[in-house]
Order: sequence, then structure tokens, then C-alpha cells
Amino acid sequence: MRAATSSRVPRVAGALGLLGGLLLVVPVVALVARAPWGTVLSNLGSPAAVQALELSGICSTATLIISIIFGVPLAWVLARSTLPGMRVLRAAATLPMVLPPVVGGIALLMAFSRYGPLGRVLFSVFGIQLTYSIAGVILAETFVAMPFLVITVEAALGAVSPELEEVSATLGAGPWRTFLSVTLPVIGPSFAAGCALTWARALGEFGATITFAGDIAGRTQTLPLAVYLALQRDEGLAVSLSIGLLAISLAVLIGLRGRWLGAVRT
Amino acid sequence: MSLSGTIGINREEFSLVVPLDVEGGEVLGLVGRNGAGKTTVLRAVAGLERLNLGALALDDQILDDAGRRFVPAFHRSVGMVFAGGTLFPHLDALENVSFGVAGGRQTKRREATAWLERFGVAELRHRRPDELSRGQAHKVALARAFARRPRILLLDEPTAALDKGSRPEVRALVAETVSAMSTLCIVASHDIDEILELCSRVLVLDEGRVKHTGTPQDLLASAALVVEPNVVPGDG
Repeated sequence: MRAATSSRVPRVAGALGLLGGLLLVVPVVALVARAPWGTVLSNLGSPAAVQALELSGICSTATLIISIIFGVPLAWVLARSTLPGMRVLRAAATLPMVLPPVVGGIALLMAFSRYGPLGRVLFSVFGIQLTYSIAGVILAETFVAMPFLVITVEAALGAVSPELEEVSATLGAGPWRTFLSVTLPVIGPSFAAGCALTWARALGEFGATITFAGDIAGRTQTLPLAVYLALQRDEGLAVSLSIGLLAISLAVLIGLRGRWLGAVRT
Repeated sequence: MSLSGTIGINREEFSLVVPLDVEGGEVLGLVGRNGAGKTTVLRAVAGLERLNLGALALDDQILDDAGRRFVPAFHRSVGMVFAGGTLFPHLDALENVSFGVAGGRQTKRREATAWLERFGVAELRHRRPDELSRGQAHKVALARAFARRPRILLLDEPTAALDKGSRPEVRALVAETVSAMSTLCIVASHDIDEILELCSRVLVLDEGRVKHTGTPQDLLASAALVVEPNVVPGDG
């Protein structure tokens, strides 16, 4: 089947496709080739790197959890609700995917800084300041990454036969039980893929984070920020940290293909 | 136990007004062409479709009064077998059948196994739906609807998915189980043999209205029972 498909691709398209592939692969190969392999491990083990890595892990995982709690219901509403305004809501929910992250960061500042409408309330009532804090990093990452979960889950929900949910209802399951024990497992592979994308996007988040939460070592300096900072003074360190991020990304990709995409046959 | 009322559904492209009066232990047949409204009647009784007109009550409990009162499907004691069977793809046969059974894990498994045995598919209990033939999957779907011990059983083309050879056996099993449980049952079917064997009374539907009513034998004698045995089931 693969041979039949490739034989139908015109040569020009094949050549362009190959160039496109090279464009994507060459930089990564160059990164690996130029890495100071003798010092990569010690660089990655340095206190600053470990601190940034820990912070990134905590923030991206918290982002994923928050995205599941709020994003899955949002996807559910978008996929199933017949109320007016769903198209507007969908556009709003996916806007952060196409918005330059730095603009997202500024938008968050306008809303959640101590002088923004929501930030002022949070600060005066609860004493919470989101800017320049871990919570701010998580908020910025959620803003940028949650839409990946929302659109993946919504698309999957749209493909689930309504009859499955109806059968579940006739078997006595209310909407929540139906969602948790029928719909969600049926869309399991897409849900898992959405989670992985969301987590990975949060891990790599730079623009919104540095704009909204700043670049404070040990508090808001996640791994991508640390890479950028390192590049100004120590290219070897920057490349080493990048290798660390590359390894995590590859692990996500391999996990996605092996575990999730092939696991459930539906 | 009795189900009574009038099912009225008005949509742009379709209108349906069907008076219903079914007693416990009785099996009512719905026949008619595709699009006559058979499946819609079943869906309305199941609570998957809301009434615009009329009202429907099970004994003195109002299920739907086309207005304020509406008991959703998951609060009605119904068992419905869809024309396509529709098993949950992520669960094996046993888990599918135990899904609607009340009680703890052990009870669910025991009940579900017993129902699978009854329909002759117990040895397939650990298979997922994609590992079952259409006929096998349909037997599992029947077992799943019965296992819930519903007060109202709704069967949409209950044996159409089976090969011709195994239809009489499954029909007999359905008839026997319905009478043993004295559940109230409505069957939508294209299959004249199925109607003759299962049903004590028949409504002939045409474009959302009742054209004739009577015993299957009466209607057969008067040639009012217009059925098309070879029509693909599923959208009546």
C-alpha cells in the first residue's frame, strides 16, 4: 500500500517534500552534532539546570492537570451544546494557538497584573500576586497550551457515535457516568495525544511566560528561559540544556506512537 | 403495569402521532416502511426523543408530558436494543452486559455471565466487539438489554443482524424471556416471521400515523400487514 501511494506522487512534489523534510531534520541533527558531549551530562546536572528542569516539570504538569479539569469540559460543551454562541466560543478558545505567545503574555498582564481587573481583586482580597510567581508561569502556560487539549478532545468527541451515549443512557447511566465510562475511554487515544501535546507545548513555552511571569531564577525561570539566558554567555550550556529538552520531546513522541496511537483498536 | 398515552412528535420534515397502550407481558409489534416512525416511537418511549404533543405514562408515573415533565432515559427502566447492536467498543462482551446491571462487582459479573450463557455466547465473554461477528455482537446486545431487567424492553429489528439459520432460535429465546420476565415489550420489525412469533398485537405505521391495528394473524389475513422483509433495517 505504501509503494502504491508513493508511486502516485509526482517527482516535483517528491523533491519538494524531501527538501521540506530536510528543513525540519537538519537543525536538529546540527544541534546533536555540535553538542559538547563531554560536558552535556555535567551541564544538565548543574544546580541551575536542575532547578530549571524541576520548575519546568512542575509547571507543565500542573498546566496539564488544570487543562484537563477545565479544558475537557470546555471541549464537551463545544462538541455537544446547541446553544447559540458556540462558534464564537470555539474561536476564542483556539485563539491562543495562533496568537503570538508574547501577545498572550501581554494580554495576561492586562488582566492579571496587580493593576488589571482580575489581578487587582486577587491581590486585594486574597493577597495573591500572579505576576513573577510560579502560579503566573502555570497561568501563562495554561493559556497557551490548553487549546491543544480542547481542540483535540472536541474533534474526537464529534466523531463519537451519539448512539453509544444513548445506549449508555438506556442502561441507566447519567451524563457524567456516560462521559467518564463510555465517551472518554472511547476517545482515549485522542485524549492521550491531546494531553501529550498540551504537556509538551507547556514545557516549551517561552514568550507568554517571560512576558507575564518574568525570568527569575528558581522561581519563574523554566528550562526554555534558562536556555535563552545561557545562550548569552555560555553556548555550550545552552546547547546542553537544549539536548535535554530534545530528549524529553523525543520521549513524548515515541510514547505517543508506541503506547497511545496503537493501543486501542476502534 | 401499563404504558399508555400518545406519542406526538412534530419536526419540520416529519410528524408523528401514535397512541400507545401496552400491558406488562404483552409484546407490541410496530411494522411499516422505512421512515414510517417505528424507531422514533421506540426512542420516545426510551426517553431519547422528547414529545411535542401528547403524553406518555408508565402506570401513574408521567414519563413525558410534552412540556414541563420529562423523565430522562437514564431514569426510565428501559432496555433498548438498537438496530445496529451498538456495543461499547472499549469493553469486552462481559463488561458490556454488566454495564447496566445493578449491584456490586461480583453480582454484575454473575448476572452478566448468566445472560451471556442464555444467549449462547458465554465463551466469547472476554472478546471485544471488534472480535465478534455481527450476529454474535447482536446476541451480546440482546443479553445486555435483558440483563438490566427493565420494565420496558424496546427491540429495534431484534434478529435482523443474525444469519437466517439462528433467527428462529434467538426469537424463541426472546419470546420466552419476555414472557418469563413479564416485561412490557415493543418490537419494531420488517420481518413477518418475527412479528408472527413475538407479537400479540401489531400497529401498522405509515408516515407517522397508525394505519391498522390488530393481532398479527388478523392483519395477515386482511393483507394490511405491509412489510418489506428485505429492506435494510435501522432508520424506521
